[in-house]
Amino acid sequence: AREKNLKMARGSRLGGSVGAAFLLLACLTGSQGLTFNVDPAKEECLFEDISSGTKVSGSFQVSTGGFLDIDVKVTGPDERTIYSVSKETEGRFTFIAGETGTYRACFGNFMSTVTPKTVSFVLVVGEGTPSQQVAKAEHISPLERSIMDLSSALSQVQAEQEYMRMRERAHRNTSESTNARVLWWSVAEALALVAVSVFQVFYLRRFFETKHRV
Amino acid sequence: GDCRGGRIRIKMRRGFGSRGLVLVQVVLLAAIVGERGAEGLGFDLVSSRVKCFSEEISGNTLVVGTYEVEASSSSQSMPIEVQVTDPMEKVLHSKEDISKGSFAFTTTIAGDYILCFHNKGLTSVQDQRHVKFTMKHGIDAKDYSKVMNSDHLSPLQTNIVKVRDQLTAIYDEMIDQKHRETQLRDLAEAMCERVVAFALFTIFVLTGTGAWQAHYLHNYFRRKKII
Repeated sequence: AREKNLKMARGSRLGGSVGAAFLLLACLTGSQGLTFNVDPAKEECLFEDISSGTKVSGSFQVSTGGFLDIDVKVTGPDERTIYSVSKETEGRFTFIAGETGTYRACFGNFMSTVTPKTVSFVLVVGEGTPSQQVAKAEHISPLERSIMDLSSALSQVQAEQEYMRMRERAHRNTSESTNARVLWWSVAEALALVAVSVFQVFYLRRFFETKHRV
Repeated sequence: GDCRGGRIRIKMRRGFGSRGLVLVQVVLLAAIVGERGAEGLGFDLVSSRVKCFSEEISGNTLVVGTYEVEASSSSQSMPIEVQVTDPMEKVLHSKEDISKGSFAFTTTIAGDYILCFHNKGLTSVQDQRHVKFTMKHGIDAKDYSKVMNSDHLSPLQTNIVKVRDQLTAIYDEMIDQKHRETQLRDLAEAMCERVVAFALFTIFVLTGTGAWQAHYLHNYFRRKKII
């Protein structure tokens, strides 16, 4: 019975220390979703320090401004281009960081001369599957592994929800601007119609008056 | 009776030992994580410019943020001012000439919470400063190591608490999205009705002006004895 207690104590000690390890690893998975403006003819760059082997995924969405297009370029610490698109409204990218260093995501609004663009950007930096990372450590119980994977999967669900929220926001902006435009367009069209018909009538009058004088 | 009591006491002492080892592990890992340098998204802030980052946050959510400005290498002074505002444009946190700091608050209303950095250097200064910041809300903001210590939970239990919190957050977000989708649908349907109304209005205006034209010209020609 005493031996059994010893084994249980050791197991819980290992479990405890590894548990603390994977608790912290799980905390390293973070997502940051931000909205910011990019002034016309300017470029805004965001930097993030990422360590080698980390799975990075990001998505962006232009919610307001002009044709809702923007140039996006993601470069690594060695200046190598990881992701580059031109004049896109929205996009997603995923990569595994090759080397440790500062990664850069730049948003360029060079196609615009007057209108600033509003960009929403979500960046998820984290260990994709902590199971692979902690597999190197001492054995952990299947329960702990399951909980770890569960937490990681739920983080991904939250990231997807953030993406959907971004898209819904852009959609809402488009709908509201369309709604306002319909109103102004209708008023302008009515005024134009009235103006043209009045012009037609008075032009015809003038035509007949001149002829009559002649 | 006595023997069993003895065994329980031994187990408890071992438990303390294991907890001590866990603490050492946690401190070591924290040190390793800390060595990575300041955490967060970084950007360059040119003198006299303002950069704002906004995030749409629902009500009753904990928001925790940190910011750090790199020591200025140039001789000209470029103090950075930070400001956090809520959707009602009320200032929640404001500090001038920052180097490193943090802020925390719980949101009351849902909306855009904006974090702004203002480089108070002069426009003539052709230099910039590098700013790093984080702004986390909800699950990401909650410190689970604190929960673990205060409630005396094992790491496994804390992770389960985190999973439960994540599920609650996902559910709340889904309800929120459902509401937003309802609003969007109402907006789209209102727009549809509006388009129909204005189409009819345009036809009415067209017919009206046509009838007025015909009537006016008819009277005019009759007056001028053409008809």
